[in-house]
Amino acid sequence: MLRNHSRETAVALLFVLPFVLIYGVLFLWPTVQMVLLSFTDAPLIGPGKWIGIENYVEMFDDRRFWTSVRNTAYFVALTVIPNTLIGLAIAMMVSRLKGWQQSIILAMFFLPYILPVSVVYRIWNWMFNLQFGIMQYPLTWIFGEATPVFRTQWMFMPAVAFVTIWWTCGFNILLFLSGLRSISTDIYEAAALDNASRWTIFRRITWPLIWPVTALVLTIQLILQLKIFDQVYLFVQGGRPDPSMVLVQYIYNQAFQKNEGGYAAAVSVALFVIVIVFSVLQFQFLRARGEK
Amino acid sequence: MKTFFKIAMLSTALLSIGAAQAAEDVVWWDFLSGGDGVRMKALIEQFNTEHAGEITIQPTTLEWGTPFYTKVQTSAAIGEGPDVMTYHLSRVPLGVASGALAPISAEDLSSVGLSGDVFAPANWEAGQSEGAQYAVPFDIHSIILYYNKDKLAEAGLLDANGLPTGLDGAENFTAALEKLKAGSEYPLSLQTSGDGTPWRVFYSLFGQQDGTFLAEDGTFFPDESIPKAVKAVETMASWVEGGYAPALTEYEGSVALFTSGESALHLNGVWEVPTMADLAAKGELGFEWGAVAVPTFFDHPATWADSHGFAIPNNVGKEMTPEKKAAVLEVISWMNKNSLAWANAGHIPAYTPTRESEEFKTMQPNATYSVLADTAVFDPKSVLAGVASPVYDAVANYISPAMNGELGAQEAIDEMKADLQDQAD
Amino acid sequence: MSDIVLKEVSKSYGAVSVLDKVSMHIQSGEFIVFLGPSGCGKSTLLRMIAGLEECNDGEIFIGGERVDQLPPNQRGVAMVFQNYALYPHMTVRDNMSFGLENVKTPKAEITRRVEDAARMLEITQLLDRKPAQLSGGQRQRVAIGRAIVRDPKAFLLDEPLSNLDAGLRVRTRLELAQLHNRIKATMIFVTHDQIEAMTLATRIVVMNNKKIEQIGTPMEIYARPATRFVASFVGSPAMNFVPVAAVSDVGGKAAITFAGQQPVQTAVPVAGLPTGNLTLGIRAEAARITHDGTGIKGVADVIERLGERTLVYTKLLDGTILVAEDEGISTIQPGDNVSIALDGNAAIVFDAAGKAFHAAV
Repeated sequence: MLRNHSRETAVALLFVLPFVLIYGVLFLWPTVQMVLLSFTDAPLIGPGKWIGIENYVEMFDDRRFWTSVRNTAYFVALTVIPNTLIGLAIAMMVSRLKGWQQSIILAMFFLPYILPVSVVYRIWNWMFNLQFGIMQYPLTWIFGEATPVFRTQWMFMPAVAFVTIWWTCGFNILLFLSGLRSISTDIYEAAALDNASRWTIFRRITWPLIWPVTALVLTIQLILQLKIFDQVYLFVQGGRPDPSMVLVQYIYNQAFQKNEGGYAAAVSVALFVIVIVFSVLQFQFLRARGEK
Repeated sequence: MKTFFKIAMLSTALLSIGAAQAAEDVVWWDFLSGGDGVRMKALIEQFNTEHAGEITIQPTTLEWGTPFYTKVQTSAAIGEGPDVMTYHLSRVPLGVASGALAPISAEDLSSVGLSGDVFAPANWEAGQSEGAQYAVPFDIHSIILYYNKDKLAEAGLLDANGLPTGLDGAENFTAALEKLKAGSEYPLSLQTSGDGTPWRVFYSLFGQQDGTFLAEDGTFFPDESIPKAVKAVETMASWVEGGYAPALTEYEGSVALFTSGESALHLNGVWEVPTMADLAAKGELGFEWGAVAVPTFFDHPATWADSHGFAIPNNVGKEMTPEKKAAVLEVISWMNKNSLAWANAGHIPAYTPTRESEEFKTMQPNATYSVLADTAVFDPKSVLAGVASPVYDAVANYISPAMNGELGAQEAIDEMKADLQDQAD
Repeated sequence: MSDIVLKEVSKSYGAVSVLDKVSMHIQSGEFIVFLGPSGCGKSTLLRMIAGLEECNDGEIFIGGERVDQLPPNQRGVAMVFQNYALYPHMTVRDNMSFGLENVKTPKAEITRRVEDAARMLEITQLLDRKPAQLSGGQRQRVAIGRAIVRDPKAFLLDEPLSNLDAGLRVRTRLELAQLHNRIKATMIFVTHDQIEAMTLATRIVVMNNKKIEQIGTPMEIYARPATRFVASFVGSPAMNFVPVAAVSDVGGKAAITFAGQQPVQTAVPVAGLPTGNLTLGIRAEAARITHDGTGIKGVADVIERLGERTLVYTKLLDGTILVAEDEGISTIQPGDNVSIALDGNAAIVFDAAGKAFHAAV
């Protein structure tokens, strides 16, 4: 049968069109606009004058921008790998359970993930409360006195990272669990007959076979944590925002508090580039490792 | 019978639609929660009752500070702002610069009897920018010193009239705190974390030394003012260091320390007067309270002050109808003329006839501290200043840490100066 | 010496019993096939020997040592899984050497053993590939290779041929038989395919419904099934079962009459036969079409022409279908009246419970 190729192409275009339109209107267009905005001195709302790369020149000289970059990197270091490893460890424990026990334990670990960040903030602000917080018992034991965790500079980021891991690791557990389930029990049985110890089974069977999931989780985490905002913003309330400023918070600060739309757009472009470069690099690196 | 009811219901519905059309709805946003929020709601209800069938205020209360002002700015820019809103006069420069406010003409104001004549001059001018009026003052609010009469009496710090004595002068104040230490967990409670009270106390102490925060030439902390600022910060830090005031305490915690009777003195805004009054009225306070103007620590009396005012957002692409504008002006005017009720919330009315009325002059504790209005120092006029501004942020970043000993006072002022200067340029 | 001995082994999951007091003695070097329908417990039994399933009750000995409480790796057995269970991320070489590395075998020794096994299985050229790059048959060989390098006391094979296509299955079956001849190791092979069982086994263990029905050489199982279940499960076409109408004693042997037919003389002793509700079992090759009109009567229903012989599905007078054989070139058409001569020496009588009564040996 002869096929009408131009007709097929037309039909294909017709089917792709809605996505292309939505993608263009909701992603490409705003992105282009943001880049253009970054070359102007626009306020938060409304147009501005074209000023070339002045915003970028200013940014490279901006102490608070570099503080934000450093803090964001620090937060990424504190969360991405620990969150992934903890997720895997808990998933391996949960996967040993069967039936309803597994469901209940899994639900317990997953529950925090469904909470909105404001609730997470409230819970942990209370947990760490100087006068009434239950976490003050271990903290007092360690430091000899009640400790205002979110008001103590060096503790702030680790504490927020801890809360973030508590909040989000349920999702990673779920991903890892489905990864673990996809490894056939036969393979473990074969390994048991092959004299493999538990550690050998983990190192030579589970870890390599779960690697694609691990790479995925690491990449998702990296992108997510580079965009950290809510938790830092909430926990710093009533405290000292600058030393723990992260990039998105700085963008918010510039755009909404200082009405510097153009400059905020420049910082956004910088963050956009950082996210793309790092996630692509990481994903390539992880994939290469997986194929080794 | 059924038909009759149907007709009755229908006609009632039609009537009420007719009434709604005749009345002008005024969408109102404010940031007033807590004790003064309750009083504002009562005022609004009274207004709506008096103007039944003509004007209806539809109030919404949003969160104070950055959330409120961010929402105002973004919603005005797309024509979705309210018809009228409360606004800090300290924030007018920033509000005008970011295009969030619509000017109000002198003719419009005089049509409802409002002009510079019925307000204190400084107060009225605070609502202006480059000659145009953007906000109408409603009150002057400041910080005051709340005290626990029982504890002060115990420590021998009350005079014959039952008012606190011996608190003026930085050293005397510290000595008084020392005396109060025996009877209190913390003799002085105040917010020692973030912005807010630390700024207000700092600015008062700074003003008592005639410090200049922002010079005409745009310099923050000109050289001769730096030692004054350092001295103010050092004084505040000494309260925490000496164990008189709690470290790293947030706003709510500082109020609770006083209301629970654990602190003898409490530095906070006049807007907490209703909290004390309501608790005392319910018999839940457990002690007798009072409030006086902030003591004079240095050269002369001076207290930080700001004003709540009314402003009309610059709703882009949404022209206000003359009827709507008339209704909004009526709201602003009526509120000022009935501001005695607002004084109940601790504030000092901006409207001179109210402020000079016999009722206000005898209202307690306002009467005791209303002297502060004469020596008030208002926030610097700058797009970097005002509620939820970079100056407020800088306080959280430098002054509060210095109060808690995380930064030296000199270091804090130097860094704050550099930071603000950096942002101004 | 690596005899495998099971003593009254039982297994249940909660209240559900899957094996009930199974006992057997497997000689070293035997090729044993567990044969039975799915769900009979044969795979579970194999996995219990491997140590992958716990043993609720009873004892298991391998090479004289009691192993039922030992973990799988201490039992000295190797297993070939139905799905091969190769490690997907490892090369064939790594798959085969993994078990040896875990017991710290010297490198050179591992290489030697892996290469010997690869040569034997003709997979040397595949050693550096990963399982995903192999065909089903090649994976099968790797799985066997992985078992061989470990030099186990016994090989346990769990339906290893079921995932291969028909042609490959026959070829691999033959190779397995050759392999067993060469290495003379004890092998236990689980299958539900009676042809695999018949062709491979030195002894077959027929299992049904949690129990062993019979243990015997393929010919014992075929010729002298212990129960009606065994008789029906083994052999193709399946054994014919015809209800017995009457039994008479002719010289101590049972002469059996079907409804409306001439009696058939069998070699089964009458002594010990229960009365009533008996069934006669006879295989198709012992029921020949006579062309002279002698024998029992029926009507041809379906004719299956297999080339070297013809199977005639015959409806007897009482309605029972009996499959009889005719020569390869047969003229019988459906609907024809046929006569069938039964070989009484090959006939077996079953009682109502399925117990078999054979001619004396």
